[in-house]
Amino acid sequence: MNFNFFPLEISNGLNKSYTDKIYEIRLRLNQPVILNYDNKRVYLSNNGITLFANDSIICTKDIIDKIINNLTEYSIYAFNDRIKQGFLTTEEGIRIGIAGETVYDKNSIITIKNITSLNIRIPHEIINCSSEIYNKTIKNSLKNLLIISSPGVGKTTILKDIARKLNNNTTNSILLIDERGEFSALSGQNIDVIKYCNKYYAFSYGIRTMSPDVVIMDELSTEEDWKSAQLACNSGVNIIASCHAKELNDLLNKEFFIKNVFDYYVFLLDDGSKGKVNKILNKDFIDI
Amino acid sequence: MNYVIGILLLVISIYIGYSIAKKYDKKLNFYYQFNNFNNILKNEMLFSQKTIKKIILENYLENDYFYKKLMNYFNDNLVNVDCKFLDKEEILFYDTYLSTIGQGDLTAQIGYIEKTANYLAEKYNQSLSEQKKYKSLYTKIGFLIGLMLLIIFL
Repeated sequence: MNFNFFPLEISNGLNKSYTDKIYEIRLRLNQPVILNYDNKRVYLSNNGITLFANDSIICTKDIIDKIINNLTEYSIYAFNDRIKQGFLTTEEGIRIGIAGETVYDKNSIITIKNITSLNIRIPHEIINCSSEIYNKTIKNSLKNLLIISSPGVGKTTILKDIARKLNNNTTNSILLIDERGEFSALSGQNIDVIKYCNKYYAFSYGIRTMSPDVVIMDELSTEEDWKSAQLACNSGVNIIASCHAKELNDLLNKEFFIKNVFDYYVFLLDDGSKGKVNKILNKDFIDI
Repeated sequence: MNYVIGILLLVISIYIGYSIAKKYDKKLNFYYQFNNFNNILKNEMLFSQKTIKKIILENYLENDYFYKKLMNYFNDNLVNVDCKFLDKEEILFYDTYLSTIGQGDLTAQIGYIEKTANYLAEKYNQSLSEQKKYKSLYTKIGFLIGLMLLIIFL
């Protein structure tokens, strides 16, 4: 994983840790740097990880500015569409969530300035983590599939693995709607990628122009997202998507949830592990 | 012997006059490149959305003071480029320009670049008239002083 967007203060500490065990780095202005390290909360010091906040590197404005400048190559204007939505993404799919002062003009956000917090999420490839889901649901014929869990449990990792399996094992055309650049370098002979585009637009033009058999996308959240998914299903295209919810009731109580769109609902295990299946329900919400 | 020293002093005087006059060439060229880059930046921001680093790399001129400092700033201030031909206020303006470009949304950036363009056009015209006025003056003064020294030594 390439961490060259970090200033020396941070990368020196990271270089002394096992970077493949880092899932998340949280930087908050004037606060210690916190890592999710192998699912444990630790701090980052100049000598690697530490359990003590007093030994930690303290995040300064200079550190945050350097990270933003390195990520944007000193060109906020070129990345402002993503910054407005609260994130930046590296080529390798590392997603950097941003919090700061939002600047409005009338009713729309122009940009985010004076950034005070960064949440850096490091993607991990878990090859074959979707095997159980794949075998039980879509191995024989494509179906509409919804992967459900709390944030940070491995939904995107599962989606990437499903895309990889479909690409390797079938001749279906796969359209990846990669709204935040998190599917990173995923490519294949059957994969088309629409990047940094909102779901509604990606659905309407992607389905018309790319004629996919299946659309894979992350995080259905807004009414527009759900309606787009329904529209795609009605057009005869299969959908594999993810959604934030802990339990079935949370999902059913979602404001924009539409029944009868998905054939299977896959709930992931929320025990600190990544990409493990808790239960798979059919469209009548019965365990299979 | 006096003849040789006299000739030497003439050459040195002309060189000193020429060197002082060169400052005006450098300043004129600096503002020419600055103006040029500012226009390129505006067009690239509007139409290609390329990053500043890419724009600099595509337009970089080796051994040019303007681009040297620009390159250094966007590569973490590696070397300090000494622009002696600029006064304090001009250096401050340039430093502010470096720390402002790229740091905002497109509308704000274009507004800043357009304001800068007016300032740069003024500065370029001022540098051009200074160069016309002083370049030949300092070269001539150098030559005349050298000639006087030559006559004295002869």
